[in-house]
Amino acid sequence: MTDKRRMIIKQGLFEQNPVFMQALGMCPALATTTSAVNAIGMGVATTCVLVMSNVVISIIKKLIPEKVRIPAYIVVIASFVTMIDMLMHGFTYELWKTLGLFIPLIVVNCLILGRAESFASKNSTGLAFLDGLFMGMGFTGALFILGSVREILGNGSFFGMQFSEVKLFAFVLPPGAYLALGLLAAFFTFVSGRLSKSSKKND
Amino acid sequence: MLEYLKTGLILMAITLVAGFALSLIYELVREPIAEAELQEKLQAIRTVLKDYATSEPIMNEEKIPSDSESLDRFTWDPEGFVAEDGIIYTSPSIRGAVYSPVYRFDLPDNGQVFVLVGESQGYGGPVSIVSSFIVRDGGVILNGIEVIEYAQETPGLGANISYDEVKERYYPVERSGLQSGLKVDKDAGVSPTTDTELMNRRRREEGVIQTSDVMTGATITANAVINALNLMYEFLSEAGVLQ
Repeated sequence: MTDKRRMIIKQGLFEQNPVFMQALGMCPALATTTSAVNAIGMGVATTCVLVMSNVVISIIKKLIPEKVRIPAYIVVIASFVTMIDMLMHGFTYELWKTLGLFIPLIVVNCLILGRAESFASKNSTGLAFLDGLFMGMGFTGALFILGSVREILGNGSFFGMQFSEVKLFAFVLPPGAYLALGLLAAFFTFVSGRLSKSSKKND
Repeated sequence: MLEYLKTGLILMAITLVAGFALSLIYELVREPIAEAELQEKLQAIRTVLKDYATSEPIMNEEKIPSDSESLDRFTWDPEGFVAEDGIIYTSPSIRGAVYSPVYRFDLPDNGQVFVLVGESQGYGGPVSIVSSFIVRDGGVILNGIEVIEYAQETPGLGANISYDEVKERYYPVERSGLQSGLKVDKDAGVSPTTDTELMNRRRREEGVIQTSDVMTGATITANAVINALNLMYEFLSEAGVLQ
């Protein structure tokens, strides 16, 4: 594995984590993470769109004139989002119902357009695929942690399995989303700061 | 000039390819989508066709529809009502709609079960329910409800309407309760009780529904369900099936 690839993986998952570090895609990160299952569903749907749009955009990047690149990216992204929306409607009906409006709204997730503009349009297809995959996984992971914390504290359950009667409703409601996100982001920054310090020492 | 044309053509090519790909996917998922929605409706109908007291099916289980063809056979067309855009009844006084078609099942003992699908406004969007009213020997009883759409309700509060123990707070209700109109305990001016017998009697006879969240007194989703049920009852009265 070349250094560049290793860097892409590390950046997607940690150093440039879309939610905790770049603060991209806040709307789905706050609104769909009421439970761990919803969070994973949203994360996977976004990852699929991100990987496919990254790959397609890196393939057609030379065809797209500079002036109309944004509309072209949006057409590609919106098409993939609509496809995912229809597929989920048909095959994962329950999840599709709970996520509701947030699936079509993946179109305006700045993470996806951001990666198309800053990465896929400048790199090879292979790297764009890898970037989409690991940015998506970083996003999914962040949503999953946020969803788990909120479900455990707010509903006393994990993946729908009830284990506690202690329910802090606030964590299921929007204020809890902000609280949990802020605390997790702080924790994430703290840990990754420690990690980069110790890796520098080792060097 | 030529450059503009070229740019436009390229964009057009991209949109054409995207449109073509979308139509392919649409063709692929059209049937699964229709199937998933039908299955949900059938499941809801099966649920409300259970007797509230025994949880046993009120009619011969084999006769309960399991596909769209057998369901269509139970479609009921009341006289004087015309469905428009899938809606058969709206009322000036109650917000919401009763969807078409309405289903009628005949019971062996001369009774009839009316199964209605309808909606009213909840906290963030429509709350849709399926309900069953049993009409028998001149009496009527709300036998059961199932909530099929509550995606915009607050998780932990209104969205709790999907739990069975919350849905059970809305039925059974007898004629006297239905006639005076269902309402939440707060609007009826009674205080919540932990006495299940009293709670059940209030609902059954007076149409007073105790909301599930006593602590916050949240009633928006509960009122959506209640409005939809009141609308359905009004529709059945106007259709003349309640004598």
